[in-house]
Amino acid sequence: MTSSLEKERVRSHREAQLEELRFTLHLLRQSPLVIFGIVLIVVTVAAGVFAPFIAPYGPEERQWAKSLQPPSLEHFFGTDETGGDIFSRVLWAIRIDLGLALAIVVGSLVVEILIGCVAGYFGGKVDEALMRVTDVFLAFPSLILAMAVAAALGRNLYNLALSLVVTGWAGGARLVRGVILSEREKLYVEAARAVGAARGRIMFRHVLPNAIYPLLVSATLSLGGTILGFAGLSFIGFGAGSGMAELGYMIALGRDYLYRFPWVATFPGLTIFFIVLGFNLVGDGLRDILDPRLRR
Amino acid sequence: MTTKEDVKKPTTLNKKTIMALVIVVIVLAATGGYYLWYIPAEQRRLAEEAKRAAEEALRRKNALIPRPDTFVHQVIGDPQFLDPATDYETAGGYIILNVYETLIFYKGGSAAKLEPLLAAEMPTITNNGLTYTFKLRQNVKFHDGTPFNASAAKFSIDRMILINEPDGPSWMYDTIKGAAKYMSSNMTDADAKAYLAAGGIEVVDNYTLRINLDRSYAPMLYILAFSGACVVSPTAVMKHGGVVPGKHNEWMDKNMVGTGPYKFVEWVPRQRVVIEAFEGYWRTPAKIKRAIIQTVPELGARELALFTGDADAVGIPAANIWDVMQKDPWVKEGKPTLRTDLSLKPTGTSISIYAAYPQFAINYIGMNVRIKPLDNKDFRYGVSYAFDYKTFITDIANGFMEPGKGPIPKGLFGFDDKVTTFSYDPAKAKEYFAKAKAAGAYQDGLKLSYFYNAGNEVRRRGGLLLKDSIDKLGVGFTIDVQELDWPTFLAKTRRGEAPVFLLGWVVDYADPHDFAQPFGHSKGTLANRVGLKIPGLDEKIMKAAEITDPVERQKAYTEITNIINQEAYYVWVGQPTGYFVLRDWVRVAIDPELNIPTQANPMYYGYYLYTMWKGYEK
Repeated sequence: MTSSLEKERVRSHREAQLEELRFTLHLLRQSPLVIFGIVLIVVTVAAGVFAPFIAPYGPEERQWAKSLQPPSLEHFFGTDETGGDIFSRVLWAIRIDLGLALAIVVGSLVVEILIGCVAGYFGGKVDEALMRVTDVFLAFPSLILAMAVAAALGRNLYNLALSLVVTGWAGGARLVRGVILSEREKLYVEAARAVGAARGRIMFRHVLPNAIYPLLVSATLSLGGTILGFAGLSFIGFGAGSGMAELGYMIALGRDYLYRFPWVATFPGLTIFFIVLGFNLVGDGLRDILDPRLRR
Repeated sequence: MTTKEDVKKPTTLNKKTIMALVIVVIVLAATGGYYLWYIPAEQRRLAEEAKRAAEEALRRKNALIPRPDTFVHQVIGDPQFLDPATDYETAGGYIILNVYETLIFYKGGSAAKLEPLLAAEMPTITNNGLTYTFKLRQNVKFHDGTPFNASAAKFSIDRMILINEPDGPSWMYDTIKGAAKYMSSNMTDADAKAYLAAGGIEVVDNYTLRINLDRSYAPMLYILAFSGACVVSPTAVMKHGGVVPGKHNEWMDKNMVGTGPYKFVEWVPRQRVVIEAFEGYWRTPAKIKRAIIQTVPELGARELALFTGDADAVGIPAANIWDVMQKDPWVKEGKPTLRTDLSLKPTGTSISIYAAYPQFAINYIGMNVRIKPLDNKDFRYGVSYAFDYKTFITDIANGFMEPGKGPIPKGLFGFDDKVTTFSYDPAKAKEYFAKAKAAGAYQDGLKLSYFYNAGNEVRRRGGLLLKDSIDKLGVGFTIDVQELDWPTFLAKTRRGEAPVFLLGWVVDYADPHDFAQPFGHSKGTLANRVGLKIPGLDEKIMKAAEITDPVERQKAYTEITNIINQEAYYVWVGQPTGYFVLRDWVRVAIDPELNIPTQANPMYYGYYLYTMWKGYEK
């Protein structure tokens, strides 16, 4: 005889995933801010990727006689103090800033996941030791530490990126460790251990995928913060120098002309503003969307 | 026989005539009075009223001047020391100019004419230039009441030599008898005693000082006008640590007791220096009663202070001159001349930009022959022809620069307009680079480092311009413009480790030797940075310093300049044009002979406040 239970179709894994996705998009549509954030990110990433094709001038193409000219048809954002086209330089600078920020965040993520997982899963003395190390790095004011590292290794973009990885991983590691600790106690972990799975396999195949969501949110949010930190340090004078196209550095150069020629600093500044705004909005949105409690 | 009627006629005529005459006279008198007395009187009255109205308007305008007795000046740099015996930079030199005095000093706006200051008259020079005898002014007092006399003067100069700060001004005075020997010794007490016993500086009587030299030295008078020879109060020095050979007096580094029109009030390091008019000054006391010199590194803050009136004068770099001045054709032509009209294009907030005058300073790019391929002369010729001089002057210095011709600046004796120089010639540059490459001096792909110090916009842009100039030629190498922080930059250039760099040299004393020696002598401080060694030039330079006939001396410096230029160690970027930016209520004295503000004297390191005051009257 047919039972009422058989009436429920068994959904395949693929179908379940699609349903998740549809639900996510539904949530997304309900939040215009997140859409705005996504648009901002897409626009800036496209600008950076296609810069070689869109930018009318090179990143360091100077026309000395045309310095400090206001925005016009020929120079959309005007020219800077050496006669470089600000619109082009902003496009080229987005490549550097976004690219390096991505590298920094990914680099930090690798370190964070490694340390967080090891600390969270093994616990005990290993956890204590790693967490104390993390505490030391957390205790340092990150800007000062980044400055010190950059000053010691030399002023260029790569050392700056390295110094930001060095100072940035501590917070994320704590987060990863916390998530691992809570996941560790869950039933599926014990089940996996009962079945005989090796520790590494449990960690990376079972625990980590569940811990990924908060990490994703944190990474997105930190991308914005990284760009700000990067630009800020370049503004002070570490990292980019001598005419390079980099957003923070361009603001520093334009600072002396704020009175009569405000466009030199304003456009790079607005660019940073919109990029960071985009990532922050998306990060916030992601947190809301991926929050398991909201989904049920 | 006359009848009664006949007689009557003349009487009627007389009456009428008289009446007519009277009327005419009255009319004439009235008209005359009107024109000759009433109108002029009215005019006088109106003129007086207008004058009084103008005076009233002036008084009201003057009443609006903020801080009428105080002068606020915002500058970029903080002094290093305030002791004339040890300080050797312009920020300290500015304050020293107002608080201390030398025996002789530059007259008005002239960098060539000297006049007695603490001396009563110019010295008599005897003994073939070996002896200088000064009669000193009497009734001069130091700020602490000590009377000024010959022993105070001797004390001050001896002290400067005994301290012998290695990065200070004492090196210039090494022709004084016994000084050279002391400066090359270990500066022990015995050495100090030996120097004092050598009798370089003698007190003949209370108001007569004699300076004896080891050898005749043409620039000596100008060297005595430099602040190293300022007179300090012996009482103050002895009260606060005395004189220790080879060591600074820390109190004197931070405090000042002189004879100048201003006395020291306070120095808050990296913030401000405050000085006050000395009411017991030996001339009429200064009109500006108090001066505050604030250190404000941020350009925006300085500009704001200027526009709001919080500052009476600020330092504006030439790169930002358009912030305070309309772009004026005479500046863009690249040849600003000395202007005699005293306020150029005031902006809406009434600012005066006074006179543009060539400063005694040289901006140059140094090519260090210790580093390949700069040891190849063709390569250096290539660089010298590749640099776009005109663009630097018009677009980076905004026209506030004279083209450079050699180590000696225009306006100083020894300058020759007709020496052989390089010009911007890309074709020739390519030729020379090809020659250098053919000789194996460099290979394609070379990156030559150019260093500049962080924050220095002119040097950064100069490097970028050089890079652009050379990239345009496409000769197989490029300039790598690198930023270094100041201490590293200084260390690298001083140690001769910087391949290519842009620096400037400012005058110490108005004599060509002050430029020829540092640039051209193998032991010169700038020559050392590029590894300059030109055979035979050292002797020529030392000899030229002693020639007394001006025609012969000029010939010697023309030859020296040509020799230095031929070897192409330096790219003469230019000679900066000086100017000062003031609120329009600041008045400066005019040199009647040269018809320029005395402030335009290229030997002043800052404002000589004694010749300035605040007010709107002409």
